[in-house]
Amino acid sequence: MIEYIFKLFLTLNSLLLSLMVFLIKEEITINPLHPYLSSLPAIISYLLYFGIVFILTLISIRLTNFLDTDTIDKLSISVIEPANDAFLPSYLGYFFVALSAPNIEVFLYVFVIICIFIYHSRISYFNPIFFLIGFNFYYITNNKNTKVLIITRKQLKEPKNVEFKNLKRINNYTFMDMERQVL
Amino acid sequence: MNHLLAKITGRNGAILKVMSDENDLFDLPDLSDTLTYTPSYKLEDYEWYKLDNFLSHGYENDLIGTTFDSTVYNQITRQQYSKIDYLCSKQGDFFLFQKMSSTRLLNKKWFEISGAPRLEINKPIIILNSYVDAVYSINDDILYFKNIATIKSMFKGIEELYREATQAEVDNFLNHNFISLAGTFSSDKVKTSNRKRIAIAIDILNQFTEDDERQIFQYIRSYCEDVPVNGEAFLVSTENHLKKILYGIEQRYYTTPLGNEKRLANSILTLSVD
Repeated sequence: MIEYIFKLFLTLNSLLLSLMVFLIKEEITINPLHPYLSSLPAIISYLLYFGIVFILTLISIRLTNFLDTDTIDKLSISVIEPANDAFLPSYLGYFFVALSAPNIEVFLYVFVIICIFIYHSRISYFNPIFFLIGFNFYYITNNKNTKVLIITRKQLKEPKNVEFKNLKRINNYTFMDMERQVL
Repeated sequence: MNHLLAKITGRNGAILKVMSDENDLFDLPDLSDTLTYTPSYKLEDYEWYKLDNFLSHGYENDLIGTTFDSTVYNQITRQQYSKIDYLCSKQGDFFLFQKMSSTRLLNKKWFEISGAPRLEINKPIIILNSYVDAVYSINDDILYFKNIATIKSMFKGIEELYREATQAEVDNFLNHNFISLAGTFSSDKVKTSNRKRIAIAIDILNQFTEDDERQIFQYIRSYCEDVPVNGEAFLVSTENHLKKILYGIEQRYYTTPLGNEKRLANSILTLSVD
């Protein structure tokens, strides 16, 4: 049960950036919330939104520590492919949805649909903010010809030197590497 | 990090990931008293059989023989727990195998021992035994085990090592309630192939209750009408009679549902039950 709630949290998290884009497009600010805030420049609200998304992403990374751990020994990997480029275009698609939604109802409706789709897909954890924190996405193919997605802070290049000691299982095909790059 | 994996029953049963833990899931047994597998030797409690250069024997097991990568295995789901054939724990340089049995899956009500216990219903648990059935050392390429019959579903083909029964065991077997020797046939005339079958049959018979034995007797009778019977015992006068009874103990006889043809299974494959 807990893992479903957790997965939902991360899925929402990965979509919050498009909510932020929508709020900015609609020029919705925090100013009307309180008289003290009425004279704030709009940019403060927008930065705040981004800050909230950023902090929630940090929390989601923290939460992955509670997931099951996996390891990959040296010499188990045969192919490494960078996957950053594969995800960014589809993510930009969410932005366009946010920018072209005429009102909040339409946006929320589409938001929920996208949410359901990515919840059930293997990219459910893609969040561009991971890039800012230093994570990269790689597809790695192992000796048994299974291809999995690894989210890691390491720069991967040569398969024969790569090993992972602290991978967190997000789903059966997506793993997050909690180790820091050793230089 | 130690990983617990589970093999699902059936020939194509997948290996699945159960969990990971910093702690050892099974205790590594004391492997100081070992001897190379020989059928004639009966182990003391603290001793282990071993097979050196295990990979070269070619007894198949998907876990060993490659570098370890736990991401290959999917996470086990709730429905699959009842179908586990055996558990395997990867602990450092060792794989520890433990055969699963239905008694280890507890479907009872239970509560934790604590100051504020709460009754847990419909939360089946799996008991991990402290002993293991087999240990594979990656660095030495040695398999340690106690009983080849237990591990034959783990390493395909290993039953070829299955021993012949010793003379004493053959004698003992032929003294069984439902067997009586007839004519000139005696225990020293039992040939190799039947001795191997007797070795298997002994292990099967050990698990039978008296009621089971009566049932199996009737079952064999219904299929082997040419084996003469005296009261509650078969009269064994040829090697062939003995073979038929041994097949019966392994429950190799069956009847086709259409046509009611009686058959003997020449080879046995346990099917997974879905």
